[in-house]
Amino acid sequence: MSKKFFKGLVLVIVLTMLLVLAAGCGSQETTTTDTAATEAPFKVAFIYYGSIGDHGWTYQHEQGRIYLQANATNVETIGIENVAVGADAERVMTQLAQEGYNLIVATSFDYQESTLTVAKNFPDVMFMNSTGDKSDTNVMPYFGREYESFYLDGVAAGLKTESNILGYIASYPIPAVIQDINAFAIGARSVNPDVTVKVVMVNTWYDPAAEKQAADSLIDGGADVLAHETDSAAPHQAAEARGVWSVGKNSDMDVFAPDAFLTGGVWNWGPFYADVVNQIREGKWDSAPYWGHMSTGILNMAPYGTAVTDDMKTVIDQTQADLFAGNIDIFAGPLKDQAGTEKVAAGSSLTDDELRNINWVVDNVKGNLGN
Amino acid sequence: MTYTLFIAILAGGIAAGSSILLASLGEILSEKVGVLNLGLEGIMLIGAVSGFVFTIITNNSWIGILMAIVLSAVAGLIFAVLTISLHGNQIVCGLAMVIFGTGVSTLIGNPYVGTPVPQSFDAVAIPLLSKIPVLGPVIFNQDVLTYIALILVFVVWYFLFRTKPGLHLRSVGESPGTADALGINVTLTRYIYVIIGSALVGLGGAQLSLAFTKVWIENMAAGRGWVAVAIVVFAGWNPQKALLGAVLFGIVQALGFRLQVIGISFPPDFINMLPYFLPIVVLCIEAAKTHRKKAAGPEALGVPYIRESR
Repeated sequence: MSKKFFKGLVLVIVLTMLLVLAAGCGSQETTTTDTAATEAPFKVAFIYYGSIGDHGWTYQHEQGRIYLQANATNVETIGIENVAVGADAERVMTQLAQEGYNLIVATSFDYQESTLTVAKNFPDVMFMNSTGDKSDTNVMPYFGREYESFYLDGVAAGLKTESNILGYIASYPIPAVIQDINAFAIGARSVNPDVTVKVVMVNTWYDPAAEKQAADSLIDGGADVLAHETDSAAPHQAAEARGVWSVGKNSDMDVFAPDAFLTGGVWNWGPFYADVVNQIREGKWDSAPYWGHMSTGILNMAPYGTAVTDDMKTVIDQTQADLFAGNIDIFAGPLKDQAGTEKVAAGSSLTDDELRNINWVVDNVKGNLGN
Repeated sequence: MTYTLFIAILAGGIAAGSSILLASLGEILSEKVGVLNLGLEGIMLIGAVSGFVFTIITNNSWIGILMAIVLSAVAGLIFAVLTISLHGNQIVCGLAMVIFGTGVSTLIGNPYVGTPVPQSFDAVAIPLLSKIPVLGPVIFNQDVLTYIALILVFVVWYFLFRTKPGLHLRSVGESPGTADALGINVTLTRYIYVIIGSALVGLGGAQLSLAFTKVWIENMAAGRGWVAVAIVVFAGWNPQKALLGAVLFGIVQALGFRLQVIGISFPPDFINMLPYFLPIVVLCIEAAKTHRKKAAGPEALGVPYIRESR
C-alpha cells in the first residue's frame, strides 16, 4: 500500500499547492493615517472586480481610495482586488463588516445583489455600489454621468474626422452603453451634420483580441475616429497602428496611442468619496441613488492629445463650459431613432428615468445593437 | 464584397487564428502520445504573461518568446509529473492547470496590466511572395509567430506521420503496453511530448499578447484554450485540419465584426456565436468523412500507463 499511498499523498499535496497559489492572487493593500489616536479611525473598504493595474475602471477607483486616504482625516482604507462576483463577494463583504469597517464600497454593478444581501445583515455599516440602481437604507448606488464625457468625445471626433464615419466598439446593449452611444453621436452631429457612427457590438467588457478585431473592422469600414465602451486599450493601439484617431473612457489612454489619442473621460472618484465620508460622519448621509454631473468634477476630460488642433480645443472647451453651465441639454428633441420614428419631440427632453431605461439609438448611428 | 475587404477578412482571420492553431498543435502532440491536457487555457495564459513580462523587463521580444516557451514547458512538466509519474486523473489535473495558470498569470502579470510593450511582433511582408495576388497579402504579410505556426503545421504532420520518433510517439498513444514491450520508454516519451506540446501552447499565448493584441490583461485567452481543445478533437488529431479549424474560427470572427460594420441587419449575438459554431460544423463533417476510414482518437488517450498493472 505504501507506494500507492505515498503517490496519492504527493498528488494531493501538489494539487492543493496549485489551488492555493491560484487562489492567492487577490492581494490586499491597507494604509492607515495615525492622527488623532484617541478616536477610532473611520474604516473604508473598497472591493474591486479587476486588478488595480488595469489602467481603467479599477485603477481609477484605486486612485479615489488613495485620494481619500491622503485627504480625509483619521481614516483607514483598504482595497481588495479581483473579488469574484457572487459568493466570494458576499464572503469578503461580510468579513469586512465583521472586522468593523464603517463603509464598504463595491465598485461594480455585478456586486449589487451581494451588496444588498450583506447590507441587510449589517444595518450599522454603510454600503455603496458603483453603477447600481437599487438603494436601501444603508446602500447607496452611485455613478457619474458618463454620457456627458461621451458627448464631448463626440464633439472632438466630429471635428477630427475626415471620412465623416466614426467607429464605436460597444460592449452590451444595456441602457448605460446606449446612453453613451447616443451622446457620442449627438455630440458629433452638433459640430458635423454629415457624420455617422458605426457600431460594432463585441459582447464582452474586455477581450483585447476581439476589441482589436472590432477596431480593425471599423477602420476597414471607413471609420477614422474610434470610441469604445470596452475596457482595454486595444482600440487605441489599433487606431495608432492604422494611423487613425481614438477617444477613450475611464482613464487617460494617451500612453498607448500618443499620435491617435484625442481625449476621453477620466474618472475622479476621490473628492466624491471624501465628501461621502464627511456626510456620514456628520450624519447627513442620504442613500438615494447618486448620478453626478461632470460639472461636480467626478469625471474629467483627459488632457488633449497631440492630434487635437488649437481650433478644436477652442470648440471643445467652449462646449464643455456650456455643458457645465447647463446651457446644453444633450437629449433635447427632436430626436429620431434608427427607423426614423420621432422619440423625443422638439421642445422636450429625456428624463433621468427614461435615460436609465433607454433602448434605442439616434438616427445617425448605423449598426444592429441586438437589443 | 470588395477585394480589399475580402483580403482584410482572410488576413485578419489567420492572424486571429494563429494563437489557437499553435495551442491545437501542442495539444495534438500531447494527445497523440496519450495524455489529455485540458489545461490549455491556463498554459496559454502562462505563455502570454511570461512572454509579455520578459519582453518588458529585457526590452527584447525574442527573449520574451523564449521565456514563454520555457515557462509553459515548466507548466507542462508539472502536468506531466502529476499525470504520468503520479498517474493522476488527467481531466482533474487539466482543470487544476487551468485554475493554476489563470491564477499564477494574474499574479505575475498584475503590475503589467495595461503597460505598453516596448517591442512586439508586427506584420512582416515577405519580399516577392507577398506580391502574389490574394495569397500574398493573406498569408505572406503576417507576424513572425504566425509564420512559425503555419510552418509548424507541416513540421508536426511530417514528424507524426513520416518519421520514426513520430511513429514511436503514436504507438505510445495507441498502445503503451506494446510500445513498452518493443523497448520504447513510455514514460520518457510521454514526458517529452507533453512538455513540447505545452511549450507550443505557451507560444500560442505569447502570440496573443506580443503579436496580436500587444497588451497583457488578466484572463486574456478568453476561452481560446478551450476552443483549441475542441478543434483538436473535431480535427481528428490531424494538424492540417486543426489549421482549417483555427483559421476558420479567426476568419468567422473577423467576418462577424465586419458584417456588423457593413450593416447587415442580423442580431450581433448570432454573428458572435458563429466563430464557435461554424468550425465545429465543418470539422464534424470532416470527422464524419474520415470516420468511415479509421477510428480517430489515440486508443490510450487519457489512460495512465502503469507497467505493473498491465
